[in-house]
Amino acid sequence: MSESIKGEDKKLHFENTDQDRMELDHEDIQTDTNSLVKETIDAQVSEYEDFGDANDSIIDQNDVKTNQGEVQKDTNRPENKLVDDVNQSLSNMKTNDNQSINTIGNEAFKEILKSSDEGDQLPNDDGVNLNEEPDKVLMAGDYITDNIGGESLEEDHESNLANIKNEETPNATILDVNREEHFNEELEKEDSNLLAIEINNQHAFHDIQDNDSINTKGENNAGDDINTNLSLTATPEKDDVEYSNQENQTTNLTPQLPPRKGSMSLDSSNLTKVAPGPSSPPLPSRNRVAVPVSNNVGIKNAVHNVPPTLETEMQSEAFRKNLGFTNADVIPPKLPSRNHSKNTSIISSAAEINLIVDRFRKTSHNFQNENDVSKENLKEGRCILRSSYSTLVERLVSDSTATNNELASKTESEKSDQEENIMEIDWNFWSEVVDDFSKVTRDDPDKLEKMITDGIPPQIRGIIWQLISNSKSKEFTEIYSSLINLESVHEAAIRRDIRRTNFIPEDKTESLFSVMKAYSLYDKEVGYTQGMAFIVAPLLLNCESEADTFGLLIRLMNNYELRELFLPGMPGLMLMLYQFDRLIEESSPQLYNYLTRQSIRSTMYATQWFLTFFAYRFPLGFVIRIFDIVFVEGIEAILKFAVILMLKNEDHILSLKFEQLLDFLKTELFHYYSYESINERAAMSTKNNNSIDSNNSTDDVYDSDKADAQSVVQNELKMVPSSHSTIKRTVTKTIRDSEYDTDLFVHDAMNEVHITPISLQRYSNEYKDIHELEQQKEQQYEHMRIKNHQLHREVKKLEHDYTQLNREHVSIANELINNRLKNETLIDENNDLRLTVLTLKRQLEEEVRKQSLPNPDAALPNDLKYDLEQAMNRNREVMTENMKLQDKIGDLENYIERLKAIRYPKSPSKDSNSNPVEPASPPSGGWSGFKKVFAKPTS
Amino acid sequence: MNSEYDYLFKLLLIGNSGVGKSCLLLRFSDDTYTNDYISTIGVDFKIKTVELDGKTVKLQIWDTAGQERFRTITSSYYRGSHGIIIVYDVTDQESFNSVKMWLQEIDRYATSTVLKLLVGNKSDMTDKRVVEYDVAKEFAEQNKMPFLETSALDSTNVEEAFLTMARQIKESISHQQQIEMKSGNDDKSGNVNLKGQSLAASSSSCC
Repeated sequence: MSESIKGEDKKLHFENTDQDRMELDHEDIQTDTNSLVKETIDAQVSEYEDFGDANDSIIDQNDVKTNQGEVQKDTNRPENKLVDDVNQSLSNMKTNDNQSINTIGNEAFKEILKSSDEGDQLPNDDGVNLNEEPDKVLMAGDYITDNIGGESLEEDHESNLANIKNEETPNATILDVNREEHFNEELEKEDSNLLAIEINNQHAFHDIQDNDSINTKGENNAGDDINTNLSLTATPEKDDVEYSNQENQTTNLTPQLPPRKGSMSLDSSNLTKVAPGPSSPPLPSRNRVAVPVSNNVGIKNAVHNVPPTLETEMQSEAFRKNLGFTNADVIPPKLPSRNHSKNTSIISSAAEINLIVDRFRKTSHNFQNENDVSKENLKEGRCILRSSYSTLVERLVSDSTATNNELASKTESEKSDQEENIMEIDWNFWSEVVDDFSKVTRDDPDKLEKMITDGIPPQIRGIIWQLISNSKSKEFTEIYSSLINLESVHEAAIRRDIRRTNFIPEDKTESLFSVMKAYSLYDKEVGYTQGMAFIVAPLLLNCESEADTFGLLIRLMNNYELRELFLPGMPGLMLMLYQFDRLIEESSPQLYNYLTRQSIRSTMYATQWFLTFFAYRFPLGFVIRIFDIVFVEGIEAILKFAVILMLKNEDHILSLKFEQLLDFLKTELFHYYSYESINERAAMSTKNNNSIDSNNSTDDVYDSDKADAQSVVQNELKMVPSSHSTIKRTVTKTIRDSEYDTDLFVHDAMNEVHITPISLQRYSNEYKDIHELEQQKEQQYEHMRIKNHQLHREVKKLEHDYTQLNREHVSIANELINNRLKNETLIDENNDLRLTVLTLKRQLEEEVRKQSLPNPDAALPNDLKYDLEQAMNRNREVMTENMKLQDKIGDLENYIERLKAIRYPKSPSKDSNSNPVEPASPPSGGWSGFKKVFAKPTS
Repeated sequence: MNSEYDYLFKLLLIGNSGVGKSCLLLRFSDDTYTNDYISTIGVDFKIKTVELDGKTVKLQIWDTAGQERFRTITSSYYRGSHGIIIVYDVTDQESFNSVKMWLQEIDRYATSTVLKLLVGNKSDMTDKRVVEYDVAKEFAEQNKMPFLETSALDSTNVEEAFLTMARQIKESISHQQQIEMKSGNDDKSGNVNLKGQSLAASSSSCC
């Protein structure tokens, strides 16, 4: 990163001069360029003196200096011819519209490289490599030889970079190229006894390369860095200086303008990546395949083209690889000390920049880890596949009229149309793949990449998939048949989703179910996750048997680490989403920021892409082709497709708001590749090209697309509504493969998006850190949540207690009040009572006092008693007397009676009445009468 | 601030896999029905604008994958939701049993003020019904949420379900506003503060 930042500075530094130069007329450019070349050559020389490796550079400097002199003075030397050619092609470019010099340059440069490669290889092929790193050789088997030097070279570059990082200044690339050419020329002229010089030259070249590539440093070591660098500069420019950029490109893209390299050429080439730009190097690697590799002739042939800037070249992944291979055989003998210091695996460093190699390494690594029985089974499986392939091919070839030879394959390789038919299929290549995939990967990864990009022929797709992933084995068949009759807990869920899966014809649903069920039993931890069926369906469509599908699925899940995506918690998915975010951020910060501002997260739309390999919404044609790439490059390749879709639709995305945007992202992204929309863009671009300048670009589909993409930038305003309407129209249609240009899609993804395993590794490390932090946070949060919950409950309890207390308090308070009132009344009563008591007391006292006083009445009762007794006694006496008297009366009465009877027997009554003293009353009455008489006087 | 609508409510559909969340949403938003609707991977999203008591209410409805494994992704959608609709399948006892678990999820991830609604889908399949209306109704009452039985197939109650949810949210908002008004009467400076907050809240939801 520090390099790229420095690159930025440099860019800024050169901006002024750039601007000045830009103002020059087109007519002046040729001369201008000439002077520039000279300037830069001088600059280069002086800088070079500073950088060279102490030992080597002494010779180199001398060489270089003389070379420079020759370049400038001797017009007869081939080097000067090169300069002339450069100028010539510069003028070509002016008339040739947008077709970039880079393109031509790439080819030429590659030729040169190759020729130097050829020359250099000769002395080194004699087993030097094998001596170098025997352990690695062992590990990788026979695969290494070509790669070995390339990888170590890269590492050397790395160390070189470290050495000179601080001294770096922007350099002219063209010079290096010229010089390199010169060296090569010389090499060819002189003989093998000049090997020492050649070595030095080569070394010098590497050093220069290092200097050059400092701006683009990432290329060699970590290809992704360039992306950062590029996107950082490109995006703002695209917005602000759109038009000026367009103009500048025609003049500035040239490699002959070294100062521009820092800013303009880099920007414009970026433009092709970030936004649809006018020119991008069309697949240099293919040209390498197509053009016969050789010496002088190659260079002379290439001379009609302009050598490109190294930086531009470095942007091509294929080129970097070539460079790696080129240097592979050169470096080890020359820099043995450096090589010894590197202990890292060669393959692993190759794998750092190339997904294919990375994937292959993993597959073979997995294969090595299998036990012997499995290995045997796998080998057997491979044989079966091979035989089925050959029978298939024989049948096909006998059907077809044309025979395939080298020539056919080459012409075919230059075509990238989807109009291939069986006759045009490069059977030789595929046979090679079938025979020995590892050899193809090792010898010709570019061709492999290209062929896979063009698509595996549908007839042999299943076979190739199984071969690449090493999935055919008796073992899997046995496992499958043992699992097929068992019951799975996921059965209901799987069955429910089977009908809700794309692409699966009626008659295959049962197979799909069986494979899914078997897998859910095979891998209990993963079991069944929604989305898996979408991945199995295309596998099933390309396999002969369910067991084969099962094998492929297991390979994808385990070796390709697809299961990470489906595990509980979906760690793989989260990682992939993060990688995707970062890739978008680096490819187009503007897009990334816009999405963030619209609060659109990748989980909202990209989840379904990754979990289903785009099968969720995309047409089957896209999906199958994506599978091709995935099998060769690993599931990381999915990111390429995701990124290209986003970048291609960037303009439209930037015009949408949240809701429409999300809909668009989910369902309409791939409409960009519908023929309708492609044609519309093409029409637009032709119009534009006519108005701007003549367009002599090839009628290659994706070239025209690029040109048209440029017009998108130019006519953004015009374009957006029209593309929008296109999309609206196509949405209503059912998705049919025939309506989409799948080839274009795959080509764009493969050629315009460069993802290196090392950058992915970096992202995944970042993600790990972030994820760890997040988990910590989550744990903390969880902890706090629980605590909060507890506290909440406590608070509630306390509140409850409080209210109860409050209630109690209220009642107590009431009671208190009542008591107080009562108290008051009691006090009152008390007072009253006290008063009464007082009065009573007083009365009592009075009484007591009265009583204690000598009282005349006090004797009264005694007197009364006495009186009473006396009276009673008297009464008794009286009574007794009365009794006596009554007796006397009775006697007397008797006496009278008797008397009467004697004297007056006739008138006794008269006698009694006439008695004045004694009333004639009954004795009782008389008694009470007496009582009364006596009682009266007593009371 | 946006003249298109007066309110924007974010709703979330949760419930076991296969209970018909997506169909329910599709019926509500597009008034269509597909029997074998593609299973939701991750989250899906639909918009529908409705009239409610003379106000235009925009409903932003998030549909989630029902499988437990997707919780890593779906759980982040709980927090921003105003209302959460828990869907179960009246023909699937398991899906009803899971409602309790979904409620826990809500407790865990959503804000405490979020409004809930219980929906028993597939009410048209009377012959296969295993979850009785009364049982569910009682359960819903215990958990203080409204309950409806719907059918995405014959569109019974579908609109009502979403409108019930929307109405609930609207009421709770106006209730909150009333509280704010009251507190505003008490304290003038507090009023300004609260109003600012409510504005900010609604602006963030209008994305």
